[in-house]
Amino acid sequence: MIVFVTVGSTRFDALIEAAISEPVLTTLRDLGYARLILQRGNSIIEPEESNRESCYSIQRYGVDIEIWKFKPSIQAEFEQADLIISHAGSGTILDVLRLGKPLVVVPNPTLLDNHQEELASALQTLGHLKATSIQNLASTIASFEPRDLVPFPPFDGSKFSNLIDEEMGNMKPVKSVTVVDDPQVHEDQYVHAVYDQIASHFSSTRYKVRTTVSSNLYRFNRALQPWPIIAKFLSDLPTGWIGLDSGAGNGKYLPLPADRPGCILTIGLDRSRNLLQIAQHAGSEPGRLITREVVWGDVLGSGWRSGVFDYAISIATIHHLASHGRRKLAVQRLLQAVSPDHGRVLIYVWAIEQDELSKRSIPTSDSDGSSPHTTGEDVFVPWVMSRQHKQDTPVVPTSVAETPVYNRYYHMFANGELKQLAVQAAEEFGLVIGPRGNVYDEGCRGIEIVQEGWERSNYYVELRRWVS
Amino acid sequence: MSWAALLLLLLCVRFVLFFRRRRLPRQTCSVAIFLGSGGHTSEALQLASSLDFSRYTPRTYVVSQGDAFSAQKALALERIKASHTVISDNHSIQPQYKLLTIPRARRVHQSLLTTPPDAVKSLLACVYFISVCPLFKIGAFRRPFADLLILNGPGTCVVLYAAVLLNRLIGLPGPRVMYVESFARVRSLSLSGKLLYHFVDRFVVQWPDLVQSGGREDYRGCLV
Repeated sequence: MIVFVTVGSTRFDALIEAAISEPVLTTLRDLGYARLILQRGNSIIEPEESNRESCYSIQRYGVDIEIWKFKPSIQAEFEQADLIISHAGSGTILDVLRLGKPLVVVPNPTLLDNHQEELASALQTLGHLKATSIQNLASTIASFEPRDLVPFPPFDGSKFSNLIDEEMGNMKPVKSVTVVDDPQVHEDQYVHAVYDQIASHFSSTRYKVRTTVSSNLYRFNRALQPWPIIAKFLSDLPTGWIGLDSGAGNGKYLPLPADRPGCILTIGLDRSRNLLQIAQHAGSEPGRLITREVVWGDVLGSGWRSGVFDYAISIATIHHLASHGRRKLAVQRLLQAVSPDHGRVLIYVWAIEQDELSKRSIPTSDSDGSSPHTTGEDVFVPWVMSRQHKQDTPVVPTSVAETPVYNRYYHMFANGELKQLAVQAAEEFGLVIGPRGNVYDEGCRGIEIVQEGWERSNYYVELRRWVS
Repeated sequence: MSWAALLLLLLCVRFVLFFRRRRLPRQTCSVAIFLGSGGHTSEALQLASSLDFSRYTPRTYVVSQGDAFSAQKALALERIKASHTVISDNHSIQPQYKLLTIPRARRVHQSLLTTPPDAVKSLLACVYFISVCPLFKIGAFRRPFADLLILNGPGTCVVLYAAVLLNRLIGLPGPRVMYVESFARVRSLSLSGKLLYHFVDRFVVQWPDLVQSGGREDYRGCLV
């Protein structure tokens, strides 16, 4: 077995001397270490040897010793060594721990501002390495059990990149895409699979912070404030109405209206089982678990009796459908699901026109972006797996293996596109567009566009069905 | 009298810092990273490796004079990143980075007495790169030296920050500044950290013991 001793590029004569002293070498030999490779950096070993060439070998107490001033590739030394003895420099410590190699560190007591000591003892407390002193080096090696060490978490670049994104105004780009394959296949890959992943990410964070499921759901839901127009729409509905949230996601809107909870009943429908599991307890508080009505299904499916609901909302859902025909069908399913004589529908979709508060930067097809978009744009929005903003428990360092990036597909609506979609869907559904009037024959069915517009980077349209 | 003047200056500084502009989101963001030598360089480059180089571009590596190690490491990172980039058809990918060399403000363990002249020389170089150079860029008058400057010590980074501050005081666009305290600092801030604590736009630490209640530091665990 090989032991590698390094002091980086610093000068730490005492450690180098100790490493080739009798007690340490005999201990190493007894443990089965036959080779010792030593990088002395700027340390001076013995006066007469200081002028010798940069590398030489000696043998002492049955151990072959190679002494180098600098090894050309220190990373290769770390990799081939079975044990590493080092000064407590943070760079060396990180390199060695990331390779999962057993590490014994000796802080250099001669440094004036001695933070090596702090780092070594903090990491020893966490069980990642063994810290010792020159005097105790031999006995520490003798009693050292590499198996008892706690693996150090791998490098997680998402923590810093998220921090930078926040600092620079959450600059998250979206990429233009063209839907080439079957829209349904496209949605399966870039919408459904992604949401299931995101949902399980929520639950994984939940377990890590070791708090109860319900209290986290409460916090999670509270963090997402409903948009004013949606809140008002739900709040204005008559008591006793039953409605559908088509594409309910995490169930953000199921507990509304907040001013008179429970006066209406919203049933949540979604394709993602994992998100529905969160939606099922939306609005729960610690110690008070609320169960919501949720249904697993597709917004394009026609699982409902026609006209069974008093209202339907579709918030940030239709923009995930990958063709115009499918988006239109989704609107028709909403019109079909609500009562022909009083059903109300509210649809929200993402707009190309994003406000300055938006977290996304949008690619503009034209150079200056001044000419208005007439058709929507198909884009990918990356979702980066990130950890919660503030840690509830001082887990140090946190362990997240990788930072996968998931591309979510969106169709970003152009100005006027949503209204046009709604009108087209309603006409093909056999509805007259416009307010209820006396000009129509009895039994004529129609739809009124109550309001439409743009709110915080989204287009919305509110529809109301009528029968004359 | 001199105290009053100093107080006034400090108030001015706080005023400028308070009213600094928040940047509008853009497609790309230019970033400058100070490579302080040895362990500081390794950490700074590890942080830099977290970034998406297609968005955080161009990159400026600021190295101290005579620090060949940092310059080599920066080039190595750029090479690795470039080899991982999938070259797309519509733009040829040319690594967008440059190296800037500034004189050292203070060598490690240099006496505080001999530091001032070196620091002044260093400051002048920083002012030149941060305030003067961007003025002469044709067609890019409003583009600052960088949108974001990442610092993690040691001494010379304080001088670099001083140049940014000077730049702000005279009202020129300058980078936002983030200071990341070294992973090696477990229980106390470094001297650079203490000096910059109240001034930088974001102050990040990597150990929980450094978080003061009500402090302005950010803690997200080990970042390197």
